[in-house]
Amino acid sequence: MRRLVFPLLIALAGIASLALLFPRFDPAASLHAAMSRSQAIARTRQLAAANGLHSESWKAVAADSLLTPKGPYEMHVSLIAPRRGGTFQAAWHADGNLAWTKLPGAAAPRSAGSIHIDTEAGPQNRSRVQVSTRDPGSSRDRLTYLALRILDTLWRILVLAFFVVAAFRRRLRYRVALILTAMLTVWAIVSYVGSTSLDRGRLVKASVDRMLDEGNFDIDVNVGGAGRPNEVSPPSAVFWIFIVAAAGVSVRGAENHQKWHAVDLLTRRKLFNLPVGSAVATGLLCGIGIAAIPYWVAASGVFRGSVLVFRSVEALTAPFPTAVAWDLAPAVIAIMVFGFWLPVTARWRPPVLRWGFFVPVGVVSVAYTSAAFSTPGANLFTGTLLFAAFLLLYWKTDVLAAMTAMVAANAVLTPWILLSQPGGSVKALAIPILMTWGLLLAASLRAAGRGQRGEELAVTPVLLDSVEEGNTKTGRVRLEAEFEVARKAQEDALPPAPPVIEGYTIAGSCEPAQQVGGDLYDYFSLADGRLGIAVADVSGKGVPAALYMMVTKGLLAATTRESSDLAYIFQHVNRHLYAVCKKKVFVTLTAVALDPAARRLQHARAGHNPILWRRPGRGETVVLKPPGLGMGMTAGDRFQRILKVEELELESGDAVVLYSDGITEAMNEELQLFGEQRLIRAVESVDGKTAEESRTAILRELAAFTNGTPPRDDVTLVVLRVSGNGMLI
Amino acid sequence: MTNSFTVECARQGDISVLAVNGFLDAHTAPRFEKSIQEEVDAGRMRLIVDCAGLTYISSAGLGVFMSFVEDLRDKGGDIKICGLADEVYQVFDILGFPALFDIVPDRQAAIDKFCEPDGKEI
Repeated sequence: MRRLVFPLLIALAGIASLALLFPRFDPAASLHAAMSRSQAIARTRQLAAANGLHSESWKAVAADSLLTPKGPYEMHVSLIAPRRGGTFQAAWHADGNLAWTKLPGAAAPRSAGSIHIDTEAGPQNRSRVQVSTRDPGSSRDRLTYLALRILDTLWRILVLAFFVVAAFRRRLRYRVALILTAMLTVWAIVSYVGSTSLDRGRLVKASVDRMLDEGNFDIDVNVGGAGRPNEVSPPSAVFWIFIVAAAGVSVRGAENHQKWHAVDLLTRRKLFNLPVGSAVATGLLCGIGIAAIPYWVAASGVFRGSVLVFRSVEALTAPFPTAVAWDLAPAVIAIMVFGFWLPVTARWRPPVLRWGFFVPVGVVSVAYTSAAFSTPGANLFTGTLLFAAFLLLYWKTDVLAAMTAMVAANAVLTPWILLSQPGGSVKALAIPILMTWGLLLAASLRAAGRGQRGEELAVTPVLLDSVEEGNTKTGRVRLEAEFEVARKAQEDALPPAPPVIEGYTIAGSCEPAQQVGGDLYDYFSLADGRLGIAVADVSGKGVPAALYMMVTKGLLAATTRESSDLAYIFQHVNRHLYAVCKKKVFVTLTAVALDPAARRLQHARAGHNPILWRRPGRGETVVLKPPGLGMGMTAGDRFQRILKVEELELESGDAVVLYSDGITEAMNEELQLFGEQRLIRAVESVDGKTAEESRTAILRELAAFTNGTPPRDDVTLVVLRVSGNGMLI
Repeated sequence: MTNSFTVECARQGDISVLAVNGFLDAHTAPRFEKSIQEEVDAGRMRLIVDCAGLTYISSAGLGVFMSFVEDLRDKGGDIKICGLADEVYQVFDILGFPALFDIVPDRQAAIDKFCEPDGKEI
């Protein structure tokens, strides 16, 4: 729970900011809406009755109408007679006074038609201008608008198709992900540009705004029906979240598990646990603070020309304002930004390319969904601040917290809008929203407070758990003592010191992850005078692996005495292991045979990690991966057929690195793998050092990466270095 | 996280499709083994292991494939592997699995493989 103290402080700061700034800047605060949707319909029916109409059985529709982005507001109610019997309309001001009425069959109260804005008219010539987004406007406007809609629809279909394919294949090829990213970028830009500057509704609003500022007109603009450009219904939002998340999962690979842990738990219907509870609670609390950011921008006075616009105005008349408050559209953006673009761009090098793409896309996406101001500049600036806040939250927590915060930042404003109205029934609409807030927060805090009962990330050794005897205290002590003996025996099985050969240095080590391990390395003096070095890894863990490790060691010792031929050694060890190994056990082995004088190195690989051959003189690192199956998996013939022994010539300063997957698959606390590339870089960084110095430095690099995360697997590393002052050229 | 491993079993004619998800390591391999054993016990010898959701596999996980394939092939069945992500494929590849198993991109390809006359043999 302690980790929620900071989010709680952010939430309190947010509430204080909103209490201070909302009444000063939000257009909703000066709206004074007195009626709810049902009250407006009831009063319209009364009005109809006063006009001699019996409208009890007529269908009623109420709609918001915002006259400019910042208001004023009217509620339009239509009573529709059955069988096209006509429509009775009434428009109500926010304060509950009647704006106008229209009887069935009568002409509209004002002329409908194309946009009419007479910029020549002066103050003495006051004119009423009627504008509706449903008006056709000029034919050029109409074409632009139509083209935009078609383009937008096409992009949506294409993007959706890609996401669906990605989601259901559960694996998105990286190249496809890049194409998709490019498409999404174009789509985002087209949508943003379209909605801010080319969309007719916005064009109209902008010109009306300008005229209002000039103060020359008494303007009445009806943009009712325009709606928000990117409205997403809750079912489609859930669909998008699923699709985008699945696509994100398919590109994220094995990385970033921690950021997705809470989401993973949710998809497995594990709702009440520490990771989910903590993420949701953090998101809810931080969302309150983040919601205050646009108000601080407004208060700063940086963007003097722009004002906050109405948001969530539909909450005033929606049948279920709670659904309006908990709009899931921001969650779609959150998952797209953090769940898709972030993993897609993760591999981009150099990092400036990655951030140069990711940050603008994130800013535009956030600015687009949470457009708070009447000018694009102010929106972009606010979007940058909001995006920075969400990114920080993602870094400190995870995807779920960022998603929740985006939704919460929206959901906290709706009750505020409703509560700032004087009408009792409108105010009352805020109650269910506040109740859902309270319930969600309480549930998530309760889940977060349940501590360790969620699935934890830590790796716990199960060695003792599987041994029943270990469950009693004395039994456990005895077992531990026996394991200690086994551990010691294994340690003794490893070579006490590397062989000393002129012109070379050699160093090796093996650290078991548990008390006993399945890794092995050994040196052999072959009969033909060459030196053999082998690294092996038995599948599985614990006692069974340890026993097979000892078997392998014995087999290697025996066969290397019989023959100096790597192919023969491999085949014989395989044949024996195939005979003794249980079916699910196999051993991977890699070995080299070094002719010190000729500097010739033979190597073979049986299902083991490749050998790294560092050649500082040529500035290259070669990954040696000759074909070869793991041992104990197949009988002789097939193994023999596939195994290939290769040979290379060493030069001064060269290093040959043999290792086990305990190095490449070591994980840090973020569950990222160390990987072959990091190992190669570590090997390249120790050019010129002796084998022992190289080995120590590489392991130090690994330790710095895992940063205390307990190892999952045995770590084995052998380095052979050709001395730099080689006299045997 | 290491505990997050699931196997879902579906049937397609006489072929069983086991979809594995998450981490398949020494801790979770017994669950995978049990799932396959259940299929074998029920006499279903043609298995497809769909690894599309597999994010990590350790040697113990690979061992499960080895422990069944021989018996299954003796009885006229097989294990086909599909949907491997690139990084998981590398693990299979290092060990030489492509020489022992039919590894195909997706389920349909795996089903098609069953219709081919001769598969791989150990």
